[in-house]
Parts: sequence; C-alpha cells; structure tokens
Amino acid sequence: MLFFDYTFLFVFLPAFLLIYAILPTRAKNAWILAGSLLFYAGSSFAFLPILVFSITVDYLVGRRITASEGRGRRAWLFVSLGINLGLLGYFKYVGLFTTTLQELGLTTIPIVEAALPVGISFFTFQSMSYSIDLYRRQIEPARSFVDFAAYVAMFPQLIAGPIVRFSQIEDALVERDHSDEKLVAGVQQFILGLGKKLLLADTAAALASPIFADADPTLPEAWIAMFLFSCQIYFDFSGYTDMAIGLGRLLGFELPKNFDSPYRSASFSEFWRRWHITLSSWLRDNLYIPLGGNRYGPLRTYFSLFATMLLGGLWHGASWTFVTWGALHGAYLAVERALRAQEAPRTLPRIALVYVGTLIAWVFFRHATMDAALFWLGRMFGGALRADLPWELWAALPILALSIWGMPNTNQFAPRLRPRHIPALGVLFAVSLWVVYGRGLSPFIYFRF
Amino acid sequence: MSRRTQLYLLAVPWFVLFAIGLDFERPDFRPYELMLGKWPKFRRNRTIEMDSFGALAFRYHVPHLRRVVHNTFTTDGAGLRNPPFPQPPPVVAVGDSFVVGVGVSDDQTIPRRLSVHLGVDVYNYGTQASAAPGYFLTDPRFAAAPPGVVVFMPSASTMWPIDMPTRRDRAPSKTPPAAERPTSTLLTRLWSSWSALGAPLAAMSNAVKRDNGLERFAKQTYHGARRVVFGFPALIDVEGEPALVQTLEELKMNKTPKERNVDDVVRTYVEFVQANSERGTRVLVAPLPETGDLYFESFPRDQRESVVTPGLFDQVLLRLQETGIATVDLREVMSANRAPYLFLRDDTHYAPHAIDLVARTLAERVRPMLDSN
Repeated sequence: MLFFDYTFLFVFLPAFLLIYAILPTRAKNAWILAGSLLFYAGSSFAFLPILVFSITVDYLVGRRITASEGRGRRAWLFVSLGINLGLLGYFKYVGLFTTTLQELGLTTIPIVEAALPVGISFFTFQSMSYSIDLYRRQIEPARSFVDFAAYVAMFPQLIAGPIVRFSQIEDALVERDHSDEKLVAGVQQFILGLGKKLLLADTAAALASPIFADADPTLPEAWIAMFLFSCQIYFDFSGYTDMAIGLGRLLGFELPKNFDSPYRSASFSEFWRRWHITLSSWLRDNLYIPLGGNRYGPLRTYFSLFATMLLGGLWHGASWTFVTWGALHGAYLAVERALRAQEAPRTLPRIALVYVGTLIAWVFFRHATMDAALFWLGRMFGGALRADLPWELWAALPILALSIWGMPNTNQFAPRLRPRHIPALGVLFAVSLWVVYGRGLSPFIYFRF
Repeated sequence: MSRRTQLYLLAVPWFVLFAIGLDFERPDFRPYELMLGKWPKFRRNRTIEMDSFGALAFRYHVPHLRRVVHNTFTTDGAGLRNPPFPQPPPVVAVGDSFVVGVGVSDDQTIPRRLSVHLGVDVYNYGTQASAAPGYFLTDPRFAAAPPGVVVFMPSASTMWPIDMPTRRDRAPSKTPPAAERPTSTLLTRLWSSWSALGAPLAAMSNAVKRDNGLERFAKQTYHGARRVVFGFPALIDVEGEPALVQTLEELKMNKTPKERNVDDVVRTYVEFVQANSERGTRVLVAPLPETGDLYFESFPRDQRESVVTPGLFDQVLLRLQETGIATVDLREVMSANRAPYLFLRDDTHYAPHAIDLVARTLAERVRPMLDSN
C-alpha cells in the first residue's frame, strides 16, 4: 500500500484515524500496532509472520539483555544480531550469493531466489538498534510488548524509514500530545511530501526514462539523464520521508528528519550528514565506530570509512552495482579525509565537485547491471556532443535545479506556512492526486530496499 | 484563523475527492477487464457478451475515436479463453493478450483461427507472456497428455524473461508412484495456506482501486488535458483514417534490449523449448509484431527521428535461430499485407483480418510439425 494509493488515502487512513481519535490513550498504541499490521498485510501479507517474528524475538531478547550481565548479555545481543542479519541475509542476499558462487564456478548449488519481504531492511535495522542500544545501556527496555511492537511496526515508517531509534520516541510511546497545531503541521508536511514525490520526482523520472532507454545517448544526454535521476531519487525519497513524518505527527510522534538539502553539501562527509540521515547515523554508531572509527590512526580510519560505505551500499540491494556505489562513496570519504578536504570552507566549486562525484556514483545506483552502468559512464565522458531532447525537458531543468539549490527544503519551508497558504496546499493535494491517478501509480524507489 | 479551522479547510479537498471516488463502477469497456480473475488467469466458466471498445480509446478518453464492436468472451474451467474440449487439444497456443484475443470475439482469436486452418483443436493458453509458459508447464492436463506442438507467441512489448517453474514444480508427465511423488513439507503447506488467507484482502484492495471514480476521472481528464496542451502523439494516420497507438517513445521503453536483458529472455525461451521437448512436444516461437514494427513511418517525424529502431525483436529471433529453435518472423507476411490496417484503430491489438493472416501463416509451419509427430 502506497501513501497515495486510493485504498490508503480514502479507506485505510480515515478509518484508522477515526478509531484512533476516539480510543482512550491506553489503547492507542495497541491500535497503532493493529493498524500497522493490517497496513503491512495490505502490502506484503505473506511476510507478515516475518515481521511479527522479528518484533517478538527482539522484544524477548531485549528483556534477556536487560536481565543479564557480562558474557550472557553479549550472547543475547548476538542472538538478536544473528536472527536479524540472518533474516536479512537470507531474504535479501541469498540470490546474489548463490549466483556469484555459480558464476565463479565455485559450486553447483542451485541459484536461490527468495522473494523480498517489503521493508525488511528498515524494520530489521530498527529492531536491531533496540537490542544494541539496550546492550550499551543507552535506553531502558520498552514498558510492554505492545509499545515495542508499535515502535517497530508503526506504519508511517515501516516500509521505507526513517530508521527511528527507540530513544527518539520512547517518551512519546508513553505520553504524547495530539494538538491541533501538530495535526495541521502533519497534514501540511504530508501534502508537501506528496507534491514532491508526485510532481517533482515522477516528472523527473518520466523525462529521464526515454533517455535511459535510448541505446545511443550522447554526452550531454547522459549527464542530463543523471541530473534528472538525482532529482528523482532525492524528491522521491525525501518526499516519502515528509509523508512519513506528517503521518507520524497525526499519531502524535515526531519522527526524525532524514534529508537536509544534500546536494548543497561542500564535502562528501557533509553529504552523508544530509542524505538519508537516519541510516548514516545508524551506520556511524553501529558500524563505523565499532570498526575503529578514527581512533586508531589514519589507515584504520580510511578502512573504517570504506568498509562502512561498502556495507551501506550492500544494504541498499543485493547487487554489485550497489556495492560499487557504496565503494565509490567510501573512496570519496577516505580521500577527502586524507586530504583534510572536509574541513575546507564552503565554496561553489566545492559544492559542484561534490555534486558531480555524487552523480557519477548514482550511475551505479541507477543501472541494474555493471555493464549497463559502465556503458553509461562511458557515454558521460565520451559520447557525441549534441542533445536531441524535447522542449518540456529543457523547461523542466531550471525548475528542478531551482527546487534543489534555490529554494528552502521542506523542513525549512513547512514552519513558514501561514493560514493564507491553506488553499494552495489543498490545490497541491488535489493536483498531485490528479496527476498520479491520471498518469498511473509509481512506487517509491526505496520500497525495494 | 484557528488551527481547527485550518484543519477543516484542508479536509475540504479530501472530501471532494472522496466524493468523486465514491462513484464505483467496473471499468467495463471490454470483456477482458470484466473477466480478470486471480492474476494472470480469468474467471472460470463464464461467458460475457457485450459491446466493447479499445483500451487506447479508454486510456486517452477520446470518445469520438471509439470503435464499438460486439464481442463474446468465453472461459473454460481453467480460467482460459476456450470452449470446453473433450480432451486436451494437440496444439497449444501460449502467449499474452494477443493470444487471448483482446478486442475480438471467441471465434476470431489466433488459436481459434489456427484451429480452423489446421483442422484440429487448438488450446488458447493466453494469459501473460512471461507467466503463461510456466503455467502451461505446471498444468497437469497437458502433462498427462502433452500436445504435439506448442506455438509460443510473445508480443514484442511482453518479450521478458519467462518465469520458469522449477523442475520439481513442473507437472510430472505421468503420475509417479506415491513414494516418488514430491511431498510438500509441513512448513511449505503452512506457508501456502497462510498466503492464501491474504487473497481476500488483496482482492478487496484491487477492486477498490480498479473501480473508483476518482482514478477514472483523473485518467480521463489528465489525458484530455495532455491532448489539448501537448498535442496527441498517440494518434497516427493510416490509409486516411486516424488510429490510436502506443507512442514510439512508449514502445521503445517497452522494448529496449539493454533494459530487458536479451540473454535472460533467450535463455528462458530455450529452457521452455527444452522442457517441452522432454515431454515430446515441439515448440514454434512466433514473436508478434506491434504497431511500431509495422507502421514505423506513420508515426510523427519528430518521434521517428529521436527513436532508434528497436532491436529486441531482431536480437531474440536471431539468437533463437542460432540455437536451432523453430521460429517464424511474422513481420515478413504482415509487412507485405499492411492494408487494410492490421490493428484495431482504438487498441494495441490485432484486427480480425490480421489475426487470420497470422493464423494462416502459422498453420503452414505447424502442419508439417504435427505430421512429423
């Protein structure tokens, strides 16, 4: 179920909110859990037991971690990590693993292709972070199974994040306000996200698709297509996050922000502080720092950066193209650290350089195979110097560029909204739905992770 | 203005859209939509007789370009478009909506016309090009009595890798003794029972999505507005009359070999042929050309110039021929008989006379294959 699906917007959400509003406070979390499981069932019914299993295991293991000390405590943590990574490993990576072994001629094991449960990358990471934070004594255990399950399964962030740490909403799970102010802010953020996804991301995708489908793109076309893809993925994912944050507010929660104008970064380390912030901070706390971080000299720092980004790439998908994307970002970060370039002042050329580096990495993210990615990269640096593109595309380029570099992002823009903007938001809502239903539904890119 | 008033104001467009959406109605412009059951098959043992028009006329909402025809659509107990057959026919046509016969009556479909030209029954195994071969291989009726010939007809836009069933999932050619029969484990039985529980939820959600007035209204007005503002690239002129088509841009996106992975397409086609061969069935692969393959020059010049002629059709055909698989390139005979227009003027599928032409051409290739069996 997508957030702009008719079933979600006109059947599930109103029915859910109506019942949520009339239920007493003590029953609200249970209703969030029930509604979220129904929401998940609507997207991926067959895998509902996997979600329930992951939640149950981490809740029970969390209790054991809290009750244990020393090696026992560590052992229970490994149980949680083992089960979550095992689920993720089987459903997400077994296909890549067996295919690669076969291609290398190392085994005759048949290729296993497991269907991917929706949102598994997100809910396993969220669930795992609870066990890790408990182990580190950074949080108190959830007061009940329902609270914990509602935290993991909460439908606004269940399928594609943001990855919420328990510490970020543990107080709200116990007590939260449902003021009119919060509700209005939630609806506003949701509509802005909807517009971003349906008017900007999908338009960029529609303009880029014919170029990507072209068997013989020229040099400018290859760059323009990558620019459009960078707009698509940013507006798509940040639009989804805005919708998730907006829905969270309707339930009284303040979910963490996930994007902060990443293409305005003047260094790659800044880019990762602005792009998919909740994943970056998860990887920093649970991978980069345990790997040594910057505590053991430069070489170890470079290794930690590279390994973290490599695994971050693999998290996005079981494909060598994602691994390459992660490796490229790891290399960028390591080189930047070696040159101490992350500390240099913000200048326009540096922002441009970081953006171009990001675009080159997106080539591997966009294409399904290494051959296709390398072909595209070849055209970006060696294609013919002409561009045969429709006028709509030329007209869209400055609008998209302005949306990225010239306007405040939704986190900055939403608080500035005044009552006089309400009719405009209503129109934005109606136009967005008109476009998506007229053109046809397009799922969020991050749904496949 | 208080926050509460702002909330009420924001609720206004929601209520308006909700009210438009409440106009539930099945998209009953053709029997194909009404017949859709559990994907990719149709509702079982049904007959629908109705006036219908093409999907492109529906999609672009151009009432004056609708060509209304009277169609009969009959399905058998397996949810496929066939009359009841006393025994499994010796020829099976496997493919997508072109094989189903979208836009034409029961007696005008490719399998039925092939049957007339061959003089033997032909079973219509048309559902969806990448799924139909797999369903066919797991069908116990044809495992018990394999046909002599299978004609596999993917259309160019559905030339995707086949979802091949595993060897274990394929229906055995004869029922093995109980001890040898692959037994499902308790876990797999539980899993499939659990998955089945979700079917009503999915069906309800699909029904709401497919039939609500908001999506219908949006589709019609969106394409109407596009037509007014950007012109109508999906309208070509053939023989002095307008015809609605998928644009070359759309066809190109459907067909590009780079995105489609020709290796996988060919590999799975070869596997399908081999799986049939193991059962003693010969396979003829006959990709079905579409408007872009046959009327390229009728598309607007600006589209033609920006489009590289799609290479998927050629690549797949050539690679299959290299592996020794029997193929037919229908473009030759269809290009030689382009008039009258071979497609329905408001749909992407073939007109009855084109279907007959295809069936006649196929019959010439299938007859010797049947005789040699």
